[in-house]
Amino acid sequence: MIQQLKHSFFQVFTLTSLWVTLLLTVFYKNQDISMFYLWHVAGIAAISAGLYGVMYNALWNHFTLRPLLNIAISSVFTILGGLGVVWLFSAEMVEFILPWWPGMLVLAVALHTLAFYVYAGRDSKRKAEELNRILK
Amino acid sequence: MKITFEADAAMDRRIAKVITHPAEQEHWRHMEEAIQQAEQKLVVLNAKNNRNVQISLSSIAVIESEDRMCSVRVISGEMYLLNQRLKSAEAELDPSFFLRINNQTLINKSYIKEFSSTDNARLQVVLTNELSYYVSRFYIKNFRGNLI
Repeated sequence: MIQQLKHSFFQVFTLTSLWVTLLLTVFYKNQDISMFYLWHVAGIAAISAGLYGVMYNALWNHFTLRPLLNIAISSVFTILGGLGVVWLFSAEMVEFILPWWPGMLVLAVALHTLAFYVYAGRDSKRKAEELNRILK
Repeated sequence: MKITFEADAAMDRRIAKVITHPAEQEHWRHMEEAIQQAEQKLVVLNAKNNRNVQISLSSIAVIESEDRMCSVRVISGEMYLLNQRLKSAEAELDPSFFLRINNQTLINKSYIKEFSSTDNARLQVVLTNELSYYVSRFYIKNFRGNLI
């Protein structure tokens, strides 16, 4: 499990680094940046890797927690991680979007409920039927 | 009695076929008992009297991780302790009989009654003794091929 999570962390970290670099190149190609900003990009990649490579992977594939707990953990960490990513990208942008945090939280909870309750329920039912077919 | 062995790749690993002369049919029960006694055993600890006991692998229903040890539940309900981590116990057991279903649990395939989806969107496996355990998605891929 640890090995698998480590692997997916670095996979997401690499892809996010490249993706953010590409976006910065496309939208800010004429702007000079300090060398220090590279660490911001690394931070954005690390937060994304922590969320998408480790947290979601562990909650969906490895753990068997109650949906309520999955929804709470993923919503809180997504909001915090998302704000962290935006802050690393641009501090002014955080000030701009911060008043919207209740709406973001509601949206995060709603989407995670869909994923960890509705979709997960269907997925479990489908897998149970498939495994029972193999058993017979 | 002279005993000969033959291998047949088409046979199920859990079945041993014994062919005798019809006159030997009255001894079949004794032969079966002798073979069953020769079955692989596991040394576990009875926590009530702190004694080691041998139990046959086929009687084990569930092995669960308990930090540095494991709890072993036999199908008749008794509980024992195994002085091993789950990971090393899993490595010693035949993967075609024992399936890892989550980070803490190994179950004996022979005692699976059915798989079902719970009300709270989780997948569980129900054993013949009516106990149920949650199955994590990661392990489904691994044991699906061993279910047959």
